[in-house]
Amino acid sequence: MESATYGKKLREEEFLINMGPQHPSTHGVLRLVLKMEGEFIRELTPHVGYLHRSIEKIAENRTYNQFMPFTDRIDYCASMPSNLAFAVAVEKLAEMEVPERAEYLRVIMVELNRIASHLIWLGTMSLDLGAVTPFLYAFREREWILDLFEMTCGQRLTYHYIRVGGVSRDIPPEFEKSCRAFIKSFRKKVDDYEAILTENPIFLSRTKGIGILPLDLAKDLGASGPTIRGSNYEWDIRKVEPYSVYNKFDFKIPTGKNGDVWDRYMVRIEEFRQSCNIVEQALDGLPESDTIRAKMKAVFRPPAGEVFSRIEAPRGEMGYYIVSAGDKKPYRVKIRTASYNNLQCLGPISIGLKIADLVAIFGSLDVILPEVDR
Amino acid sequence: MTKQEITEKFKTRFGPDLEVLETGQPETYLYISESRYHELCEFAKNDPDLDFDYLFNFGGAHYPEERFEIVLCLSSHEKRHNAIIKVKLDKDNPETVTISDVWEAANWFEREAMELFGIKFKNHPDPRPLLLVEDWDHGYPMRKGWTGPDFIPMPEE
Repeated sequence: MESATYGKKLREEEFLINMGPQHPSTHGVLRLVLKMEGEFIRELTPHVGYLHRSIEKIAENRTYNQFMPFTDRIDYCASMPSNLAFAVAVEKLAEMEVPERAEYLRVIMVELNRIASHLIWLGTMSLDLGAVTPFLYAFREREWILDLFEMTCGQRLTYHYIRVGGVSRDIPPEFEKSCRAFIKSFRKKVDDYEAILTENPIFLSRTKGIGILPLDLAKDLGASGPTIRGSNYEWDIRKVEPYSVYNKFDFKIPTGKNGDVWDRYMVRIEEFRQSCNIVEQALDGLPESDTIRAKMKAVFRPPAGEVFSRIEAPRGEMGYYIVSAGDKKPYRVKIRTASYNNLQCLGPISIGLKIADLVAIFGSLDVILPEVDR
Repeated sequence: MTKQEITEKFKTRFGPDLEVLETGQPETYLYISESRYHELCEFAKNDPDLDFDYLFNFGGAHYPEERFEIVLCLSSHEKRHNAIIKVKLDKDNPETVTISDVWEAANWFEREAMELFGIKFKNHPDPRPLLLVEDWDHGYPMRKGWTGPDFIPMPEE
């Protein structure tokens, strides 16, 4: 029996697919409009803004210290670096000296948070690629870090620990032992992740040569963090413009070779180890002191002026531009986040690939949406 | 390059259209007149000594009595120096040209400034709103003195 279409040419056309806003592999609420030709992506338009909370407007209506808890919500997977970015900017504006012990505590917390944030990335990205085991492993290790944070500041997600002028409280006596035990065990765990994924043929075929981000495009779009380091460029604010006490520690900046998904994966895996090194060195060098916060007036008014500052957050550079009119509230706060620029890389590098590859690329960029929308 | 060298470099090229701000910060801060803004961006990116290939941050600011401002934080990957370029725009009708042809990164930054501040960027390749809801019709929320249906100002203690 002949079918009705037998002998006729199949119809070809471009069609649009809506991916998201509620899609398991967009890690939040992102809508991608894909123009498809058969299985291949011809055009990709990201639609963002579902998590826009107008944090910059809120900043203009709060004092500097009142605004600090809001910075937690800019990137809730890495609250410590978000706190630090704002604290560093305000301290630069007010030319404030931070006690050395506080600086060391900041480094310990930020690097632990970098590990925790990369663990979320590792878990969700491998889950998107069909590997369930690393997800469970990653969240098991992250739990230990969250316990460390909880014993320090009582919070597990939005810490509000780093404050303008220092940190909110000292670490409890049992912190150091538990933290050292974690680092010791975590180094072995990183080897385990590598044993599961790095040379796994299925993982390799999903990631090698996929989503190559050329360096000149990365620079033009303002990509930062592991995204630009994967494209073989050594760029890390911790080394380029050392803030806090990062110039006292010995660590390397891992870089990739081709800028594909696998390179960005390897950069983050290596950053696990470098962060472990930094935490250990910071614990060794932690100075004994009772002051963990600079003395501030009850009503804090930084001098009039403007300031530009940036730090290396887990996803790339987080920067602030603050205008102060000498008032207790900032006049204007502009927050620059890494994901905002890294997300713009997604379109150009996904053209001509399949949706399954898009999921891998999006995972490897480690975009978090609250940071894009603010 | 040091702060002085960067300032001198811009000054020799743009002379009277430039106003250098003394801030005490380690970076160069300067105002450029709107008419030569695009030219300065091209110069900053393509000059081999300046080499500002990285548009780090970009945003608007509103000074209701006097002006709108756009602020560019520039950085150089190779030379590792920074500069902040500011442009004063008209307080009633803020308008300038797009620089997304110089740095691709400016595309989204300008879209954001367009919808939050109402600053117009001529020749922008993709002037759709970015962050606010699709049917937003309550004006430009980042302007000073803006109020909207759900806006509750922080009470003064």
